[in-house]
Amino acid sequence: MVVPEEFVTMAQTYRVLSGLDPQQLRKLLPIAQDRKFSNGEVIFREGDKSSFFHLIVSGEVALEETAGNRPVRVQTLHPGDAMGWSALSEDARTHFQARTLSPVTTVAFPGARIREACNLDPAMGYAFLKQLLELVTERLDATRMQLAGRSGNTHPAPAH
Amino acid sequence: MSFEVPGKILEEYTVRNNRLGLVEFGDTCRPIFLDLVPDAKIGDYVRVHVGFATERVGAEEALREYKALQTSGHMQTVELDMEAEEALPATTRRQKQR
Repeated sequence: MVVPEEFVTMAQTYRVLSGLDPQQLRKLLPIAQDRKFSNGEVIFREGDKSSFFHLIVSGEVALEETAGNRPVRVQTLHPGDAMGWSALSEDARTHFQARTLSPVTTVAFPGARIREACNLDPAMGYAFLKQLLELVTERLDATRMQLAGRSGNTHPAPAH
Repeated sequence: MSFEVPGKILEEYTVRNNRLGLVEFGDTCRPIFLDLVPDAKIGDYVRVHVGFATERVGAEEALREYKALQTSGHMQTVELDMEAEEALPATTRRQKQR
């Protein structure tokens, strides 16, 4: 059976969650919320105490360094990417500003609730963090390829 | 993507290890994960939270909820939710074509 493209896209976008087994997913979903942001909205600022960890469902987000006079874009995030990692660790603050480049929807997890859920069920926490680690590795590889492309080195070492 | 009312499963597909369905909400259809409702089949109604069907709902209950929303004039709530999803890429939305 031919699977329509929209289903493949959906599976790819939600891979961090859809990679969990049903029991683990049932523990995480109740704390997840739909969030939506308009074009140009700042989701969080550099140095904020991070309250939410987000998985981007649609739209694009610029991660920006704001130390200088003008924000400098460090990375552009797309559907399937995650942001607000610092919400996963207590008292951590965000390293960048996140600003939307289009209308954006996310699945958001309140940091405190997700830490609590992971502490209550370390096996679920481990599975979730493992999915996230795969995502980070992919993102890191993509960034390295991008940097290598700019510097003319077409065979960068993988990030893992 | 969460919805006020249950949706009806119209189609079913397997992508990697996941089971997904095309689910109808009012006059719009969306792809939804069905992994948490292994017993649900085409024609069944499911309640959806952040893109995942979380429980099966009887047809009578689902229709009662639709009717209640229509009667109270809150059917717009469902439509507003649809508007909130406008940012979704075209490939993840599908207008009901029947």
